[in-house]
Parts: sequence; structure tokens; C-alpha cells
Amino acid sequence: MDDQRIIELYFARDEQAIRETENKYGKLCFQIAINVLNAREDAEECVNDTYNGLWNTIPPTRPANFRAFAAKIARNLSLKRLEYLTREKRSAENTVPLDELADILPDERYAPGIGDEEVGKHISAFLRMEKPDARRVFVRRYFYFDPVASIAERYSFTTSKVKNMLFNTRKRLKDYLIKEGIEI
Amino acid sequence: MKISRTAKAVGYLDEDLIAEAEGTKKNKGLRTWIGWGSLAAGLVLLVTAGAVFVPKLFAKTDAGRYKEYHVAVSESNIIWPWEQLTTGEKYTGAEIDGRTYYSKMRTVTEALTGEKIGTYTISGYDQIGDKEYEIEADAYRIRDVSSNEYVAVQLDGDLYVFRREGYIPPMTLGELFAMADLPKVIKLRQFSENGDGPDTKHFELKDDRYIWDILTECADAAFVEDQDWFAGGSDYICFSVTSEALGVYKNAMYVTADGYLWTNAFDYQYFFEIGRDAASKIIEYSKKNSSGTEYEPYLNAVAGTVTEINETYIMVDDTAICRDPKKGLSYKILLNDKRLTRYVNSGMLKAGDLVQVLYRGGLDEAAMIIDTATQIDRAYLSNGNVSVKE
Repeated sequence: MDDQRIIELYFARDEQAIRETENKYGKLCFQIAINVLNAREDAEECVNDTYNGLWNTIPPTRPANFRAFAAKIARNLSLKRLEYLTREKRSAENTVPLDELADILPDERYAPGIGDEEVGKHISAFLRMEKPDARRVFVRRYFYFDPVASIAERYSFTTSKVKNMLFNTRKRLKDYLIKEGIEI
Repeated sequence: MKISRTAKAVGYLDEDLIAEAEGTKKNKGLRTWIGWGSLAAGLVLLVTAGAVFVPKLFAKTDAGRYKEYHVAVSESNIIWPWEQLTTGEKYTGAEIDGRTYYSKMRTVTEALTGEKIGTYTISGYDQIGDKEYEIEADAYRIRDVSSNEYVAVQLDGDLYVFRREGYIPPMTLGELFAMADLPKVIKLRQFSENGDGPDTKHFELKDDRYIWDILTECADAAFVEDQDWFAGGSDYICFSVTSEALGVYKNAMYVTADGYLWTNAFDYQYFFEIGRDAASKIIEYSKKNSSGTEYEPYLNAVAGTVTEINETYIMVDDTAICRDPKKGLSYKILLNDKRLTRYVNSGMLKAGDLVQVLYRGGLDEAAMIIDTATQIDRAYLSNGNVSVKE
């Protein structure tokens, strides 16, 4: 079903919207969740929470890109769940590449007056200046949390090339955020 | 565990950027094949090992020897300290006459190289030490390949294939032939029909000259920019493409009945419309001039428990993953490569660990010695299965 039609179902408060979302984007949301949580049960729970999140935000929100919107919700919920599970020591070993990003803005003590959403806008602006390959690789790694090997497969790069691209992009991002006045 | 602000902020990226990275995904019809081809990069997402990875000596007689297990690669995500890298791994970037090249991490024999182009600065990056290194090295032409696209760089006595960076696809198949004399640098031998993998029929082609003749006549075939194309929409054959000159090992070239040629042998997806007539000639010729052959996995593997470690080898016993423990065997894995010794030197590996060892080529079945191992991954037993954590 066309995304616009699915959104209309949400606006009509028709529960078919959830089923259509599940059919079309359930796998994508699950993939993100399992990449983050590394546990099937937790990932499935996150995907169900994603459907609830969509139900609660549409309306009033009318996403321009429904697929990416759903992916964002799945990602954010997965990270929250990961934070909860690891804090409660209920989770297996974390496998997502969060450490790789930690050097840029480690925690809330950095850039205290700026929200995550605004930092996200800065990162988007930075990525638009990057070469398409570097941009896609960055998004695959840090939005979708794909393993390096999977990214290499997707773009027919060597893993070494992907690692170098990520390293250099992170370095340029850090420089960019400093230049933009984000406290690092 | 605290999620960094950057990780949270990435969750607010503009949606077109998120969609862009999703949209470039290769189609499902190709993923399996390409996955194996891309194993050159050391990657597997999820692989059922039972049929694919079992050593050849068990392929026919004892295919169900191992419990089924899944592997998610770990080695490719390890960032090794600079001193633990091989020279080929260290120096991966080159600026040659205004063009940027990157290493394919594969060596080429001297016989396939031509005259020296010059001496250039080759760069490497220590990701842990955050330090750049540079050395001077000689670059050579590779026979029958344009040096605008590929060169050989001599590092520590070995010649490594370097590929020019950047996505600049040839606009016609003729331009691709100008980039490399394909009949000379690629030998089309093994192919499969409508799929790949252990369950597909595989064939050995007797002579590929006719195919190259047909493709040479398709010089005007236009490049097609279509990231969503998939081979499954039509009957097809897919050749395994190995080329020492291009630094390629078991990549893919598809010829589809509806008239397309697709390959990932040049690091990017190259896709040409060669026409139904040329495609059907190639497919018919290949079927008529080939004989059935066995499936060849990209890599073989053994898995099991490390029972002994010393300076020259490790012993791995697979009893723990055998369906029938009485059939357990021990393998001697020679530590004859820095890519292996670093697992031991770094303390990552110890007796009692469950591991998977990947190796090229064969296994000395009499002595149960593997002397071509390239990678060792730690594995974890889970619900009776084995998985390798990232």
C-alpha cells in the first residue's frame, strides 16, 4: 500500500494502519531494533512500541517520508530500551557502535544549551556537504547501526575502506561541530 | 550504559538522508550472490554454516556432521593496533598523478605487472593512535589494465593492487573494455543458473572466448544507472569472476535473458543493456559448452574448541559442535600469517575458547592441518547452536 494511503488510515484512526505498517516496514524496524538490542524478544517489543508511537503521533504529524519516520521511532525506542536494559543489567553485551560516536559529544555536559534535535540538524547539514558515499556509510553505521561488514557488502567496499571512511567522517564531523560553536 | 549525545542526535537526522541510505540497498535477488563475492572484505552477516562452511572432506559423505549454526562476523569490526597490521593493511591510500587510489588488499604477481610508473607517497592511518603514516613506494602498471584505474604498488616485497577512488562508471561496455582488456584479465569458468549457493546447479565452462567475442560486439551497450535492478526478474546465469590483475576474488557477473549484464567486479555496480540477442547467445553457448561441477564456497571453515596454543599453531577440536560427539576431530591451524598470530599475541585467544577458523583452499586431510587460515572468530554456544558475537 502506498505510504500516503497508510498515513490516511492513521488519520482516520483505522487500525488497519498498523497492519499495513507492519507489512511494509515491520522488517525494517525489526532490523534496526535487533541491531541495537541483539535480542529477539526485546527487538519485537520495540517494534510493537514503534507501531504505538506511530499511532500516537499521526495525527497530528503528517510525515513527509513515512519509512524514515518509522525508522526514526524504532531507532529512538531501541536506544532507550538499550539504555534501560544495560542500566538494569538485564541485557546481554551491547554490540552497537556507540563508542565510536562517544568522542564527539559524550554526554549532556557537552553543549548543554542545545537539544539533541538541534545537534541532529547540524549533523544533517554536515552530512549534506559530504560525498554521497561517505554520507550513506555514516547513516548506515550510526542511524541503522549496520555492522561494518554489512555496509561493505551493501556498497561493494572493503571493510577497511568502510572503517577509514567512518573514521574520517567522524573526524570531520567533530571539526564541523566545533566550527559551528557546539561545545565539545 | 549512557548513550552519547551524538548517537541520540543522529536519531534526528533529516528524513531524506535516512531514506537515501536505505534506498541504495542492493536488491534481494543479488544479495546472496554478492554477499559471497564480497567475502573478500571479510564479511558475513548471517550464514548458516552447515552446508556451506563444512570442510570439503565432509561435503559428500557427512554433510550433516555439524549442528546448524549461525555466524555474525566479528573480525571485520576489530580495529587492530598499528603494529599488529600487515604492511598491506597499513598502507592503503595513494596519490598518483593527481588521482587517489585505494588498496584492494590483494597481491598481484610480478608477471602480471608492467613498467614502473614512478615512486609515490603511500599513506596509512593508525585508527587507534590517531596518527597518519607515509612511506615512499614504487608503483607499476598492471598488464592489460589502464593505470588510470588500477596500479600495482610494491610494499614490503609484495605488489598490491590499488584501484582509483570515485564512482565514475563507464558509459558504455566499450568504455569498460578500454579500462581493462577483459578477455585477458578475467577468465569466465564457473557459473550457476538462476541462483547461487550450495543448492544451485553449478557448471564449468570449457572456453570463454565466444562470450568475450559477443560482449566485444556490444561495445555500444549503454550503462544503466539502476540501484534497484534485480536478476530474479528474468532467467539468468551468473559467472564467478576472479581476476588477480583487478584484485578481485569470486565476485559476480550476471547475464540475464532479458538482455542485461551486471557485475560488481569493479567495486561498484556496473550494469549494461547488452540486448536480448547477445544475452541469449551467451546463455545458450554457456549451457551447451559446460559440464556440471561442484559448488565452491568462498571460504571453508572449521569450528570448535581451542585445545592448545603455541607459537606455531593452535589445535581446534570440533567435538562440541558435532551432532555426534563421537565424530569429533582435531585440526592443527598453522599460525603462519600475522593475521592469525595477532589473535594469540593480543591475548584474544586462549585455550577453551570456542572459535570459528576461516581458511582458503584445502585441508591436509591426512594430517588434519590447515595452513591457509586467514581469520579466527570467537564463537559462543547459545541454545545448542554456535554464534559469533560482533
